[in-house]
Amino acid sequence: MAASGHGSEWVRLGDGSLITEDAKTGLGHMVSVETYTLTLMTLLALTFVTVFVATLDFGAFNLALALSIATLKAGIVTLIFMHLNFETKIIWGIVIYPIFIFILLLIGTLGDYSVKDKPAPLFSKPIEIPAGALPPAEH
Amino acid sequence: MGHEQLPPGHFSYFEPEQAYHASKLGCWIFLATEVHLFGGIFAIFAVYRARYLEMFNASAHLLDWRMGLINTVFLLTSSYCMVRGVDAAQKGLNDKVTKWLNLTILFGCFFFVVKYFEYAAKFAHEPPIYPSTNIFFGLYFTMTGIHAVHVLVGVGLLLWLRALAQKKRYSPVYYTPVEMVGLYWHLVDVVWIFLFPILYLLPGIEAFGNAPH
Repeated sequence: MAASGHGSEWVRLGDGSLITEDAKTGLGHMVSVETYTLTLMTLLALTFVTVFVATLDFGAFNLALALSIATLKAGIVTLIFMHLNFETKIIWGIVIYPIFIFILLLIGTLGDYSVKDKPAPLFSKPIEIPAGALPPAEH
Repeated sequence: MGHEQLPPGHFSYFEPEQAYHASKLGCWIFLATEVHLFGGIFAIFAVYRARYLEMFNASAHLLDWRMGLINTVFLLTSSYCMVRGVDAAQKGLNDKVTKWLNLTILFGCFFFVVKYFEYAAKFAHEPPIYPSTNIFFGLYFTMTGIHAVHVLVGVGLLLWLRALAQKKRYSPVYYTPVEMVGLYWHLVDVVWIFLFPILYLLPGIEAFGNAPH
């Protein structure tokens, strides 16, 4: 809610804090206490889900599952506890930017690693040189 | 004190709302740099894990996932207490802020107690496990260590917030420090949310009657 500080009357609440007449709800977004409690319950439940799936053998999918659940949990914390769900586009931009850079970093490093110690296909093919393209060998 | 006195923290701004949004923007930019810091280390972990998968899995089995789980629960609960503290500050209820911050600090300290026993168990292991043992433990101590330093800084900031709450500084138009430290505390929680499965759970664990794979 907008708080028009300048020119407004400041009143003191019972516990000593100051407040403007027209800003009783304060700055920033309010989320209900019930939502916070439900969020905590969801996060704890997902924590036990991630432990449980770690006891099962899905092969390569264990990594994908663990990371998916962690990303989901991180998303819940960011969207609700950190109020990102109620933020402006510029804050969203600031959040997305380092994630984008991190993904680029992973693509770069893991991509480079995956071709390491292997012949690069582009240069591993013998280059066919058409006859007459080279100058005659000198004797 | 009479009317027309601005609450603390608005010196450079015409409007409290402007001050609040400027602070929040700056805080999120700081958090972005934190993502760069941890993201870099996570990328190192990803590459070395791909290179030495067997060694990483064998080493991760030496970690106690139960300790990691307890710490996850502690940090998630502390995040909840933090957000309740922010909620109380938004309503200008300074006494409730103090109460919820006390709980947040308590769970942050519990995290350190578990961390102490965890590290102590590694050093007491036969043979002892140090950061120099192998690249997995080097990264394990680096990642959890840098994270623990963040928790420590967070606890310090929370103590400061608590002192301000006891001075009845927060009101619906000024609770910026609580929200900003809250954002930081939640980010530290988010980092742990990734650290826990990556370090402790990836090689598979033995629980619920299932053998490790």
